[in-house]
Amino acid sequence: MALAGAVSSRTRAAVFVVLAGYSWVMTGVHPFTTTSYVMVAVPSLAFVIAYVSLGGLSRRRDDVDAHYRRHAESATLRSVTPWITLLIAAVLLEVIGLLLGGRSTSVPTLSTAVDHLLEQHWERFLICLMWLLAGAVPVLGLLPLRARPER
Amino acid sequence: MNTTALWLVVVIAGACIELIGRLRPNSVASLRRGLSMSAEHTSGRILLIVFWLFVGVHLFARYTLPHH
Repeated sequence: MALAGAVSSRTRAAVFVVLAGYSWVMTGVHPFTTTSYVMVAVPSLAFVIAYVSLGGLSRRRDDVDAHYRRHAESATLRSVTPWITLLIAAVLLEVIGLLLGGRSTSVPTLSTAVDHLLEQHWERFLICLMWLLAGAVPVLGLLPLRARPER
Repeated sequence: MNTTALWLVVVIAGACIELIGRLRPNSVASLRRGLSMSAEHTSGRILLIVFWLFVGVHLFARYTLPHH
């Protein structure tokens, strides 16, 4: 899901700056508050609506399927096996952590482990910026396809 | 054992797979290629979006700070 060539570097830089600013503000809000839910909901809705409006979830858009097939660069089930194995290991670790009560010090859940990385504002900022970019990149990737009609 | 050590192993393993994927693209896919492959169909894209939304809510609206 790399950035498409049709999106200018100026646009990408502008998106990065806006998301960085938003990430800094968003991660300064206390968790479990209405504001925190709203701050997460705004980019979530914005990206999902943009992605859907660009045809990202349309079953009639062969060009979207082709876009991802092109970026997969002939990846096969065999070549992604290491990632699937790692995913299964992570899921097993999470399940064991949950079975041990969720806050075990020997086998912690992923969220317990990640909580240690969220103590400082700058740490939350960086992780949040990565999350926002992960939402923005697929939208930017579909922008060059927006003029094509559904078949 | 440090609480984050096991997950650190997972992250390091992921970094190793990514490195091998870039050095030997014919045998191992990079994370970008793997994600693109899973997004080839609408159902895969829906799963990725749901996972992304879950991470956002879980990490940034519902996190708890240790020692607090």
